[in-house]
Amino acid sequence: MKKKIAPIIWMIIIATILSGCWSRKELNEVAIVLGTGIDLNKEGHIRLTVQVAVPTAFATGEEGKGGQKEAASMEVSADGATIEEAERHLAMKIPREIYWGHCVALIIGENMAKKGVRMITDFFERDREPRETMWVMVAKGTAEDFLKTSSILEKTSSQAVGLLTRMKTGYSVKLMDFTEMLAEDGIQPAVTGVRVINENHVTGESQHSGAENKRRVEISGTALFREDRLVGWLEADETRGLLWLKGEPVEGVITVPTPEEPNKMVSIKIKRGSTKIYAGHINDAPYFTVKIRVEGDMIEQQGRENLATPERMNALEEKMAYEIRKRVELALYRARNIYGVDVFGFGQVYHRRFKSEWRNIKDSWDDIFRQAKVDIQVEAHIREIGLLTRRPGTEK
Amino acid sequence: MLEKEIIDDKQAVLLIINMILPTALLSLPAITISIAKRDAWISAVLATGVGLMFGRLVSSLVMNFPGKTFFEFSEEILGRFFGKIVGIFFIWWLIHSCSEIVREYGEFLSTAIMPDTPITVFLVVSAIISAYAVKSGFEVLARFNLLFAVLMGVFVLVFAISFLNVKFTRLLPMFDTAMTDILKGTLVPLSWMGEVVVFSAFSPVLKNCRSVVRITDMSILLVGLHFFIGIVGVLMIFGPEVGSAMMYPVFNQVRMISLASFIERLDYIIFMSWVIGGFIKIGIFYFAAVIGVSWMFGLSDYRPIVFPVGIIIVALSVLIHEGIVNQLDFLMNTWPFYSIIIFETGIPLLLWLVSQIKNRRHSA
Repeated sequence: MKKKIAPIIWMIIIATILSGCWSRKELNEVAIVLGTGIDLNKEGHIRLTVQVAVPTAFATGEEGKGGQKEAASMEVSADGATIEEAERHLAMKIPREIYWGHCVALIIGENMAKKGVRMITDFFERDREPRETMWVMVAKGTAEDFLKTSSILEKTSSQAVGLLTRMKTGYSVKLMDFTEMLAEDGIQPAVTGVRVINENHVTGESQHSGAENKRRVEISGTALFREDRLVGWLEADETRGLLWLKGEPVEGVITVPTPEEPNKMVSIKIKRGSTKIYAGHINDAPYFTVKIRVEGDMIEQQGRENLATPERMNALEEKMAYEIRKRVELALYRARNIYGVDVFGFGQVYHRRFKSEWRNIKDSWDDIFRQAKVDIQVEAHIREIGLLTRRPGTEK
Repeated sequence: MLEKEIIDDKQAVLLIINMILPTALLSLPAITISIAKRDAWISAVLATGVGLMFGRLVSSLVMNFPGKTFFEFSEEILGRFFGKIVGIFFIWWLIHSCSEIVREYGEFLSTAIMPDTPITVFLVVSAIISAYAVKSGFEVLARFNLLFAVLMGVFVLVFAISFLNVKFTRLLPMFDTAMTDILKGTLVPLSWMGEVVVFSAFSPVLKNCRSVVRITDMSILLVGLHFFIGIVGVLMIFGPEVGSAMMYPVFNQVRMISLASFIERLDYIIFMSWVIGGFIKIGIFYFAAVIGVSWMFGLSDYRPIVFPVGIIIVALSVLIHEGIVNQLDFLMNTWPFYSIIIFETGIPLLLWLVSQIKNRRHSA
C-alpha cells in the first residue's frame, strides 16, 4: 500500500512545482517597451520616454471601415535623476510592469547627447532585460517628440526606425558596439542620427488625411561624439564616406556623370566593397594609406553614349572612384578638421601597427591625428551592366 | 568504499572536463581579460601548458598507488598522523570549493535569469539535486555526464553561431600587455585547471589505472581549448575593455546572436547547459568531499553522510560571501594563490616528493 501511495504523492508535489514560476509575468501583466527615448529636461534631470506597445492594436489584423484607427503604441514620459528613478515614476503612470526585453531602439535626445551619454547607457547594459543588440541613435530635437511621431507603414515609430536602421543606410550602431567605441582608445563614437520631418511643407497638401499624419521619422546623418559628448553631425553624403572608411558594408548607389555628356548621369549600384587602412610613418609623424576597393553594377543611364566598351567602362570606373574618394575626403575633413574627432578608428589602426609608440601619443591622439596625412586610394570596378548593352536607337 | 563503481576512460575524460569547465565559462573570461587585457588568450595557452604538468603530477600519484583514493595514499605516504592532517585540509578545500561553486551558480541564476527568487532557493535546490546524484553512486553521475556531453553539442552549435559577430582585428596588436600581466593572468585559468587534483579523490573508480596519464592529458588539453575559445570569443566580439567589464561575457556573447534577424534570444540554451553542467560540477566536488569525510571517520559506506555534508556545503555557501562583489574579489585575488599554492600543487607535490624519497630508500 505504501509503495502505491508514494509515487502518487510525488506526482502531486512535482505537478504543483512545475505548473508555475516564481516570478512569472503573464503577457497581460507587462507593458512591452518598443523604444526608449532619453532627454534632458529643463531642470537638468533625465526625462525618460518609453513607447509601449498596445497589444489589442497589434492583435487586430485590419481596421474596420469607419472605425477609429487604434493607436498601436502609447508614449509615456517621466523625469528622474537616474533612468531607474524615472522608470519608477513611469510605473505610476503605466498600470503594468515595464518589460524592456523587446526594446528595439534607444533614442538619445540632442541635449542629453551633448551633456554626456555614459551616465545613461549603463542602465541598459547592467539590467538583464534590455538587449545589447538594440539600436542606438541620436535624435535631432527631442527623443520624446521623435517617439510620439507615428509611422504609417509600421505600427510604431520604434519599429519604423529599427527597420530603417537594419537597412544600413546610415551608420547603424548596436548598444554593445557603442559601448565598445566609448570604452576603447583610438576611436570616438559615432551613431546614426534620426529626426522628425514634416512633409506638409514639402507637398503643400494638408486637407485630406489630417495634418498630423504627415509627420514622418527618417534617418538623417551621423552624430559624432568626443568621449561621450555629442560634438557635431555628418550629413547623409558624408555618412557614406564614414561608412567607407569604417569598412562597413555600404549598400547604395553612386551617381556619376557620363564621360562624354557631363550633364547626363549614370547610376551604379554598389555590390561589394572592402576597405583596408595601413599605418606608417613619415618623418616620425603618423601617416595612413586607405585602400578602398569597390565593385558595382551599372543600373541606369541617362545619356545616349554607348558605354559598353572597355575604354568607356574604364573612364566610368575612374569617375566612380573619384566620387567615392570625394565623399571619403569630405567625411574625413568634416570629422577631423572641423570637429577634431577620430570616429574612424585610425588610432586603433595605428595602435595595432606601432604598439609602443602608441603608448606615448595616445593621450594627445586627437591633435596628432589632425596633422596626420591620410592618403586615400580608391579602386572601382563595374561588373554588370544589366539587360541592355546600350540605349536602343543610339550610336553603335 | 568504491569497489563496485567502475567508469571507462571516455567517461573519465568527460568527467574531468565537466569538473572544471562549467564555472570557468561563466566567470573565467572576464577575470582573465581584466588582468591580461588583449593578450588573455596567451595566458590561457600558457595555463594549458602548466596545467598539463599539474595533470602529470596527479596522474603519477594515482598510478603509483592503484586502487587507492587521495586520502588513503596520503596516509600511506605521510604516515597516520600527518596523513590525516593533510586529508582533513583537503576535505576542507573540497567542501569550501564546492560551496564556492554552489554560490557562483546561485549568483549567476539570480543575476542573469531570475532576479526575484531568493538566492537561497537556488543554493538549496542545487545541493539537493546533487545530493541525490551523489547518493545514487558515482556511476550514475558519470553516465549522466555522458548524456550531458550530447547536450554540449547544442551548446557548441550556439556558441559557433555567436562567432559570426567576431572581428579578428580586436585581438591585435599581440603582446600589447606587459609580460608580467600576461603571467599574472595565467594564474586564473591555472587555478581552474588545477582542480584536476580532485580526480585523485576517487581515482579507484577507473577501469584501467594505466591509462590515467592519457586521461589527464586529454582532459587538460580539451579544457585548455575551451578556455582559449571562450576568451578569444569574448575578445573578438566585445574587445578587452567591454569584455572585462562584464560579469558573464559569454552569456552576453550568446545574447548578441541575431542570425538573419530570425534566430535570436538563444541565451536560454546556454543557460540550460550551464545549469546542468553546474550540477555535475557540484556533484563531483560533493562526491569527493563525501569520500573524504567517510574516510576520516573510517566508514565502510559513504551514503549515510551525503546529507550531513550537503547541509554543511549549503550553509557555507550562504555564509561564505556577503554578495557577488566579495565573491568576485575572492575569485580574482585570493582564490588562485590559495588553491594553487596549497591544494593544487603544494600538497600533491609534497606527497609525490615524499613517496619518491621513500621509494629511493626502499630500493637502496
